Amino acid sequence: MTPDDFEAVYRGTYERLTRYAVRRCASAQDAADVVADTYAVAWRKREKIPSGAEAVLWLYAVARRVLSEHRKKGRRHRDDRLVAEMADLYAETPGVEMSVIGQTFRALPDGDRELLALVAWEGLGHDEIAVTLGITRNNVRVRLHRARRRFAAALAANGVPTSFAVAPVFEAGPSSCLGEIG
Amino acid sequence: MTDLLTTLDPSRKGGDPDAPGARALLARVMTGPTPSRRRFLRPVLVAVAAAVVVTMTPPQIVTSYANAAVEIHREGDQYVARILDPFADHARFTEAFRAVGLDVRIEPLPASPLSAGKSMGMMIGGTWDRPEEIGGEFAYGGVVLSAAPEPKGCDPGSDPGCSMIVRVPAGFPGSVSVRLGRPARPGEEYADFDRAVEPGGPLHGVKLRHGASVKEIRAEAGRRGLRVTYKEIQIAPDGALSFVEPGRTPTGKWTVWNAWQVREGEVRLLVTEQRLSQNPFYNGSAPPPNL
Repeated sequence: MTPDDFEAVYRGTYERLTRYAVRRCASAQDAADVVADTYAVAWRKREKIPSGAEAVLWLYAVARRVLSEHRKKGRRHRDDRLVAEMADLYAETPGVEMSVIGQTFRALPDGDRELLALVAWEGLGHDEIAVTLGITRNNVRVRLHRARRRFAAALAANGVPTSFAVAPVFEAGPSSCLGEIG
Repeated sequence: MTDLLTTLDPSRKGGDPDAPGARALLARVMTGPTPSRRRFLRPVLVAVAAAVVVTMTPPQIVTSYANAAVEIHREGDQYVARILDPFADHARFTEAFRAVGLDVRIEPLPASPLSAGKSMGMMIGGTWDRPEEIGGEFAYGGVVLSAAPEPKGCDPGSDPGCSMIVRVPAGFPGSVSVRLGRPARPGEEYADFDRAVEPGGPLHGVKLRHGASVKEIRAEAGRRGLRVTYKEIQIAPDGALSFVEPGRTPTGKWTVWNAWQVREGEVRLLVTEQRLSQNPFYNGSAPPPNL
């Protein structure tokens, strides 16, 4: 892969990858770290980046590993501009009522949350999730079914009716990044 | 079921790969370590052979170079580059450094008068067996890499004989990217947004160390003819800060903890609705801002 090819991948995936990071990190600083580290790994392993539409799935998989590593690292030098640009990508803060749904979602097991997020936010199909997570399509189907069931049960337990609205998915917890699958 | 989650999306939109921070990230990433040498040995050899056939004479590395933008000469074990025109096209700088065998890029960024003509930071790329530090600064072969006005502390914008000087060790194998402030065009956003309360900044003299009311700061900004915008501070459990559009227009009772200069005539106040026990900007590992 030539530097020009890599730049094309960067430009073609940046929008989706930044959203992936923003969705899983409460702070713009952390999202900037995840985006920066993911592309740094991608550059090192650029010969392995698949062509076409699969490139972004490959990057999601890298970002997942970066997220789980991120907890172990301290803060480091960051580009203020990148952090400011990330801050601009966050949705506005929703109301208290909505955060009940967010809290419920947050309280799900990591694997459930990531699966539901890949469907609802990244808009991936079962085949694409299978590539991203490195599991079989059938496995995706089974896991997703269970995740949906658990989410519905948790919502019911928290007294949330079937009408849903906007909610934050980050509010508490030991790390400000979510989304790694154990 | 997952349809119900769609509207919970924490992200409002995706990033723009053409934004300055995104472009800088790409540049930084692409100067990072390359894949294992073994895998690349063969293609590299082929490429070298092809290059020899095509260009019979390899480009000559010189020890001094000058154009209208920059003058570079060697002093012992380092190259010293004097920036003659901080506002020249960046390609003129790149060409001059390349002529002496260095990968140094000067990246001009829109800046307030406080940073115009000065370095706003340096990024160094590459890998080394033994990273060196001298006095806390990055060094290579016993030479510190630096980009600063000389004589020390002078102002390139106004002091005669004062220039930005970039010092790079001879034979430095990595890449260097210097963020150089250039005067912002009318309406253009400043890259040195965090210098609003410094001497010479639009809100110099305003004290925010212990927070101040929006009412008070808004009035002061009004007296100085500044337009005011707001970002609400959000604090993650680990103390990391993020900034969002306030859900509603801040009232005079909200608290201002920091201020940025956005562009000429405009400042952005970083606010919270509830007063906090301490200034969140004063609580990080980095040197605290002079609020």
